[in-house]
Amino acid sequence: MNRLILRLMRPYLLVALLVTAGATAYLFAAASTVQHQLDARGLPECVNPNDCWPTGGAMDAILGAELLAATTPFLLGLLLGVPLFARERDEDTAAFVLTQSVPARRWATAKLAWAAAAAASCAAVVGLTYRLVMGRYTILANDLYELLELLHLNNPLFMLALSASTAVTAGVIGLVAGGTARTFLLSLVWWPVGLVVAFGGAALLGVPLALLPIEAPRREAPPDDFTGDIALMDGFAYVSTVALVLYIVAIVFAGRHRAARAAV
Amino acid sequence: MSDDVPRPAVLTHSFSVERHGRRVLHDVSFALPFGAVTALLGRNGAGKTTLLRAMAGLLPHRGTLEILGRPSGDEVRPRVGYVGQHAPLYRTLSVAETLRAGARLNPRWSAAHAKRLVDAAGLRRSARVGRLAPGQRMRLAVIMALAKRPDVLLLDEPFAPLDPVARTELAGTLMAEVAAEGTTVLLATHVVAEVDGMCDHVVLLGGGRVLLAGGIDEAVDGHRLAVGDDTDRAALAGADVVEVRPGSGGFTALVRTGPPPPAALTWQRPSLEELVLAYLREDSA
Repeated sequence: MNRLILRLMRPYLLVALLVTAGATAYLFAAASTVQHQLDARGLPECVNPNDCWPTGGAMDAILGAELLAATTPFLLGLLLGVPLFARERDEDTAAFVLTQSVPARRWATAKLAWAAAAAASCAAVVGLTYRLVMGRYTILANDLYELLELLHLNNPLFMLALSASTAVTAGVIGLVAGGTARTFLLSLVWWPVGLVVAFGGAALLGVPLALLPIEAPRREAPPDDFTGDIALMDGFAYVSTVALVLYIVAIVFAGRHRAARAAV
Repeated sequence: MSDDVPRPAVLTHSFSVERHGRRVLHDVSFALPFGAVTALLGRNGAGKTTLLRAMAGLLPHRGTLEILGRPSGDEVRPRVGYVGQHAPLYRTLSVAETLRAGARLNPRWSAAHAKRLVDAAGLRRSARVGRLAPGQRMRLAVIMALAKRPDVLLLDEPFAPLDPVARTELAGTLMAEVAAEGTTVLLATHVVAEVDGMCDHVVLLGGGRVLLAGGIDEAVDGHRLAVGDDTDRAALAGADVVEVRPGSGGFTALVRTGPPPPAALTWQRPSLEELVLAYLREDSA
């Protein structure tokens, strides 16, 4: 069953890999562009926007990286989630697979799990590259892109959870609504819901955590070192990730239930 | 049901299906004996496809559906084969990949049987399913269902995309399967000629209801065509008339047999086609 699922996903996996490779390559190129500007100014190690505010191509590269980090997880999730069941319904192949000997619940669960895993893996690559390669440079201009950063929280774990939740949500929308174009549009409309769940869930989960007498370790940094900004939202990102994981589990159960009702 | 009456292979009772808030099948009840080849007949939109999809577990339903003595569901699914209209198969897979998928998805899969049927159908294993002609795709879909070694086979218009030669070959394959395995077949079509001589039972649907269900011989024997002049119409009084059709100066009526027929009329045994058409016309009226 798993082989068949992966075989059916192959075209979309290839596109997702291309997107991942392209995004990763862009992040490396963007980091290189900013570093070149810092080198040219004779401040290769600068991490203080007051000393080395990027301009021109370097600023564009940072903007590009921010946009990419904010949108790629969603794009990957849509790529892998939208065709998952919508295409099956378009071509009525669900009538073939659901009349084999595999229970519909198992089929739906396995498909959603593979889509989520693939989206999460690709988003993890992009997220880690962003954090490890580009993160140091984005802090030079993060005053400008705070809103964009709210979409990815500078955190690879949050980004992969967001991607997986998008894939699973789009998959279940396809299962319920059918039609690739319809599923794509509904998934786009549904897009902010994932964020609301993540941040709302984080708020709910975070309040009890904040009441615990735990002091987060603090790193003593010199006043001109802004690298701490990279990890500023990590705590919130981890709690948001937990909320997203709970959301994914709920959506998968809804998908299983829908598949078992067999109204495909 | 008493112990000496064999349980049917398929039993529906008060079986109803709703789609988009509209009831498509109304209290459908019939029984298919083991090893029967049953024609599911009806006009376009009568509910044949809906009935088969619901029986295959693709649509939620109300009422009773027992297959092989058990409620329909995951437990009996491995023993039920289904071929949908237009042969829904993955178009991006090759024939060989489709067969491998069948083997992985079905514990009762017979690779040897599949190979034999694919060879007989002349299908190239490397061919993409999407590039097969509709008739070849349908052959492959039927092979996928047969290699699953089903006890009950549900076929939705399998002959529609086939040329006459392929149609004969497929009918032969199905008949051989029934003879060898005792498979119970329910075959939907709206062409009566396709099933005459091939099926031994019939379920006739009209407007989502069962108009007639049972053995073909019993059904035909249970009806008579009455032919007479207009002046003799009164002779039909009290008869259980299915349909009366005016002709040139007279009429033809299909009547359920009961008491001895009035001598004023000429009585004939109807053909299956005459029987089916009479019911369908009456239902449409």
